[in-house]
Amino acid sequence: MPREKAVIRSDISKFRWTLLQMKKNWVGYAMVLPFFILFFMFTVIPVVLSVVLSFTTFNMLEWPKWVGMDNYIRLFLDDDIFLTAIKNTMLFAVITGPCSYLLCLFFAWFINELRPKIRSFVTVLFYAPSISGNVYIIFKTLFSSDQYGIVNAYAMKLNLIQKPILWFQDENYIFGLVVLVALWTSLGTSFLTMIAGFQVVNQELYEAGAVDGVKNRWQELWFITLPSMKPQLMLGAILSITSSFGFGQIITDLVGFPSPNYVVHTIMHHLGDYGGMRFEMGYASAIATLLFFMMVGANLLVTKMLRKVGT
Amino acid sequence: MTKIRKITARLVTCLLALILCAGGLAGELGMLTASAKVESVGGSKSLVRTSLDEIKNILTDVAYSDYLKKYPDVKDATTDIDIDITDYIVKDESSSNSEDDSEQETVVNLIKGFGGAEGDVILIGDNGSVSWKVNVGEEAFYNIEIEYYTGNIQIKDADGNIVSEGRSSSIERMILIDNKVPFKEARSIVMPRMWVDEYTVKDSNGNVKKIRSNSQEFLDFVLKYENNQKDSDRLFQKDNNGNELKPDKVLLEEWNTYVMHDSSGYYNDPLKFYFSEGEHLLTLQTVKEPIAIKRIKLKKVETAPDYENYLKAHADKKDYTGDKKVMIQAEYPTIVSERTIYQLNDRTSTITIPQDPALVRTNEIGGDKWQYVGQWIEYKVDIPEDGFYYIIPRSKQDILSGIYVSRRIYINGELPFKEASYLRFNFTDKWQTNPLNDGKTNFKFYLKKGINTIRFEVALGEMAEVLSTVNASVLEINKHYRKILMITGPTPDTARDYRFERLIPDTIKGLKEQAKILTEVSQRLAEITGKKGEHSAVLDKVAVYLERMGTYPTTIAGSMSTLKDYMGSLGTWLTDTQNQPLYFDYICIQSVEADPPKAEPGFFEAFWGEIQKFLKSFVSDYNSIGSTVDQSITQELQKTEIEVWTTTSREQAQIIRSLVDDDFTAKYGIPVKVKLVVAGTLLPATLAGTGPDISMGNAQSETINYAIRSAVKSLNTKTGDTKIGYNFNDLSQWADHPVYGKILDKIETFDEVKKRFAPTAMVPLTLYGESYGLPENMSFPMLFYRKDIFAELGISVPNTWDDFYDIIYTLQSKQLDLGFPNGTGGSFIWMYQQGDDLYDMGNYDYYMDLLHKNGYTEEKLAEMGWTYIDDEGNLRPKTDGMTINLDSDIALSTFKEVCELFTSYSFPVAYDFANRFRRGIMPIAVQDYTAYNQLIVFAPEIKGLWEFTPLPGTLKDDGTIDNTTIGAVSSINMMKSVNDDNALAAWTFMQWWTSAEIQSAFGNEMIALLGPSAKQNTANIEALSNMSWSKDEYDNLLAQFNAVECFPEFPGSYIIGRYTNFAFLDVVNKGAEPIEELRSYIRDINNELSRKRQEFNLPTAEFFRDLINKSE
Repeated sequence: MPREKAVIRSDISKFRWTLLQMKKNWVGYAMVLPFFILFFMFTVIPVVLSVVLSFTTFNMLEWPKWVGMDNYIRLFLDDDIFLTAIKNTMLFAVITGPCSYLLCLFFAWFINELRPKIRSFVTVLFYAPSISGNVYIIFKTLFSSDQYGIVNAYAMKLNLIQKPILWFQDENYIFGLVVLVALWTSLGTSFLTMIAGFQVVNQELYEAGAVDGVKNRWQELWFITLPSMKPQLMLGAILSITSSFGFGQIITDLVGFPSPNYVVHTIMHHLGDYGGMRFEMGYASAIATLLFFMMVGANLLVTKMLRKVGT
Repeated sequence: MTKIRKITARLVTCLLALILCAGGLAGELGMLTASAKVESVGGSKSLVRTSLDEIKNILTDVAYSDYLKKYPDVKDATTDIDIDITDYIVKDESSSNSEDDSEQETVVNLIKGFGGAEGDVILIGDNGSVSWKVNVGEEAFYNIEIEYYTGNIQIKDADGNIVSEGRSSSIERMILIDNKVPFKEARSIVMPRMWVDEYTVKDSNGNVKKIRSNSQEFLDFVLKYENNQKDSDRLFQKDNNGNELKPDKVLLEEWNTYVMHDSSGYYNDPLKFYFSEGEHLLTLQTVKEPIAIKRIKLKKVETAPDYENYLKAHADKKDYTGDKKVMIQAEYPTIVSERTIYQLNDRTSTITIPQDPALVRTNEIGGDKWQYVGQWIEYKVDIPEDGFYYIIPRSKQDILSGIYVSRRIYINGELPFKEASYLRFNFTDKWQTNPLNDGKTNFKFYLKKGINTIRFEVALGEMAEVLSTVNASVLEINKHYRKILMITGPTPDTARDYRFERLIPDTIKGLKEQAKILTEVSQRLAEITGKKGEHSAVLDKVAVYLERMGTYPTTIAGSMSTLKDYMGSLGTWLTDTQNQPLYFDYICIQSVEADPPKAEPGFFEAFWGEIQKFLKSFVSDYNSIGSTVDQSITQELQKTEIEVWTTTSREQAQIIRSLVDDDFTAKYGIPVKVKLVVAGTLLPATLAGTGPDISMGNAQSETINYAIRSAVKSLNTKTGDTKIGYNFNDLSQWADHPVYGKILDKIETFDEVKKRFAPTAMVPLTLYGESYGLPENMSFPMLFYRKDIFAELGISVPNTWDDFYDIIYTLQSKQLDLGFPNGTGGSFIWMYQQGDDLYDMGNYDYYMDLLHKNGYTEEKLAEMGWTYIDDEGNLRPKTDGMTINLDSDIALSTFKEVCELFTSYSFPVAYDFANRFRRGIMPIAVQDYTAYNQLIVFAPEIKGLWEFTPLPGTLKDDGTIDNTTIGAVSSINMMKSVNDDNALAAWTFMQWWTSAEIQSAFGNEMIALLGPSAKQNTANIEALSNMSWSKDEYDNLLAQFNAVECFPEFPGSYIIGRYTNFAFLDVVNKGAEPIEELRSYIRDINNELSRKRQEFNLPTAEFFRDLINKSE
């Protein structure tokens, strides 16, 4: 029996090589399969489907009709509110994304300096707003439009205002309040991962750093701590960015839908407006597709920026 | 003044004229509208609004306890005085206004031998009042005893027409002596109804038999199986899954003797009324329900002996020493006082009898269904021999923590001894088996051999005194609060010294006094319950605060908002503590020596029970809503099966299920699947093709939204296209069907069904001649106002908006608020009252001409789907709703006026109506009439002090007042999943569900299950009259019901609310000019309307503009 000749990469086509490798590592693939099926069915297919639907008109109850680029043309050239929504989404993403990210990072850093027992207590304290579900509704009670609402009542008592302010109904206040609530709730998962990240940094590196001439804590943070927790930073960044783009539900709960004069109308709202209220799924899919690419783009950008950490 | 009189005179003339016209055409619904509109136009009459004088008459600040103190030397009466009921005087409510007395008269029927009575019986209708002259021989306190009929009665006028009919709710009357209400508590005397259970039992031959719980048959059964634990020995009917169902409740028609008690339970003894020597006038004024009275007497005051004397009186009797334990299962009451008291299922304890690890066994009674003062449950027990016994209920009170609840026991209709009013059940989360006691002594009761009746009634026991004091105190503090508020306004300036001690010295003194009272009460409470705890904390807090405010008046201004919060929590405390929930599992009557039954299972018993439950949970189905009907289904029947979806609560779904089983399936034989789904499932399910045949409870805007996308079927289409819908006006097309052929005469056609609702209720469900649903519920804003505050300020309820403007100053100068719907919510009402529409409508001929001129022939238009045939058979273009009518003069001016209410008049934009109304700082508000439900439960302390009436109207040029309101409906729809086979089945269900009979049954069941706050706002006019409204409430409601308009729905209508709200907010927040602001949004609205119309190939405004341009 002739000895089977070992196959090397250059002998066969890339496709066959892949197949061969898959056969060899089939256990790994089998283990990944359940997740992959779910991921494919509930994430990949919908995304692809929504891209396809964005070229049709579809009212959810009747069969879709092909309309080509019409939805996109209308979206960019004939929809003022969409432009408002893009503006708002960008503003939110720029303000809450990086802000909450930095907040997470710095809180995590400060907390990391505390003693272990106090540290876990403070962690719970900071993490509480984001695990307790819709607790941000408390802001609605706080900033109630009623003259007996808490803030209104105190402001009137102190003679700061004469008439109750319709906090979540008045364009002047909505944006600020919503950003406030967003930041308050944003110390979520990324915050936890960063705390974890701080704790896995190899302590020997600090000693080595001290020997090699690290002068202060800032340098320690920038040259040692942050580079060693890059994976956590990455995860945190992606979570922050994604959530700042998808930041719609909180606004709806606080301000109602739609917000007065669309002051805090985001792309998510625009999507819900067309998908849920006007039954124009095709158009809504076009919006969703755009949002998808915006998020992908933002994430690429962030990945690039994070490479600069520690250099 | 003369002007007003002139207008009134003109109105009345107008009214009479219209009544004459209307009388001739009675019966026709359209005319009903006209005549009812007229009623409300009559405005100032008491039909719609209680007059100021009348309110003053019945308003009294005197609490019963103070009333008794007013006559310290007067003794209790020792003789009875019978009143000859036939010698009655009818005093009319509105005798001062002679014009329309005929409308108002209290109708009284005297019938000999009514309800099996021996003598004359007086039947009094549900409005007005009836008085009797009483000659009192001695100055004394008397109880009033009344013997009344517990069934529903009918009152007929002279012509034999029924003018008033019982609605199964409690009878309520106000007592006036010499035309004055003697004390506050006399304003509401409630005479309970009596209800018996009706069990459906199948005997061995499969025959269905009904057994009532007051029958001998029931008694024999229950007494025979004292511990009937076996399934076969239970009376309860079971559904397909084997779960026990609670029996139906039937109103008992009997004579009941009732000694008048305080309906809030603050006083344990019957109310005593003071009569001086001489002739007096005793008046019963109607609050709710008609009443039939056999006998009224002023009764001598009898007090039960105390326990010691009770024992002494029975000193010769012995304790029972036998072994027999008489057990009566609590789920087998003979009579209960309210239909909401029904059997429940306890799964918390494995020894609650009976028990099944998986299935529902109705093994207990009470809980929060049996918690309001005066509600009672009666049992019959068989006692082995004469003697003294312990009565030991297995009871549980795990709801009110820290406090105990009380019950009063009557044995054979009598209170055996005084302490029997103070039976005490302590808080614990476990079941208890203690002999009846008052916290100190275990009482033994003397029972005769044979059948004895035992009645447990909810009472407040020792808490009564505490609660009545706190209640009086709350009202008092509220009054002081308002007095202060009238000086400071809602936002007091803390830096300013208002000099309260000079302006309102009484109030300052009053605050301190109340502080003292509350402190005393708190101490008393601690004494009663044996500990200080959270339940008395509220009292202490308020007391300390009031003390501070009274001692240092300068702190008052700064303390107002905190005081307000405290008052709120005090009110809540009061309502909570008044509730006396208690569960009963069984009642055991046994010898004094014997050990009481085990209250809770031992560890292993409980453990084994839980294991069983756990194992069973893998195999049993808890979710399906089981049916009681087992049918052998033929193939043809199978095809007609329909699936109904409802998104409401489980209780509601269960009621629907049982109505379907009892009535629908019995009547039509069509199988129905009822499913309870989560809201929001309908759209995806319809999209996926797995939707229901019928969807219930859809919001107004959904119907047309679904319909234009062909997801809902039309019910009256003349196109003959089954993709669009069916024509249920022509049922003959199903005449040969094997299933439908037989039931066709029991199905009403679409046009017949339409007449059940206000004509406007179909408007939002109809688009271009096609109706896509039937209205289920309908609600609309009405005017709520506080009678007491209006009387205090001497203002009357506005009939027109001019009147409304007049009272703004009076109220606002007292720092009181008015509630008005903001933005277009208010302006649309005014718009419709002035006869304007929300959309541009009509003008059909113009559009048709324009189309014809440009070469669009009728055939071509029909092909494009741009025309339809309306109800009268005219060909119409689909041009309605192309543009919004907000740019009309009326629309713009009303919007401006409404905006001014919020800018110039500073009406609150956001407010919590129920809270402000309850505290009296918003004594008038335009609010959806369903707020009634909230108020009766949430604010019992202002019961009888408020009313809702039709909205103020707009005075028209011809002198009539148009008080139209804007309604909203929810609907039942036929979805696209129906096919030719079950379309008629679906229609059969829809017409059945919206019928008066079923709607009232559903409404009453809901009230029975969830209490008085679950009153349904049904759209069916006849069913509305069967709900438990009082006469006044119903009259007001009906008057408004007939002056209601609903918006039509067109494609794109969702955009209107959005942009008009933007406009309103701009005006309020940025001070923009209302008219310009609104106009700036009209273009956006019209664009959206056109865009949506294009999507569905409907003619648009732009299209016609182009046509006009072309032709020019």
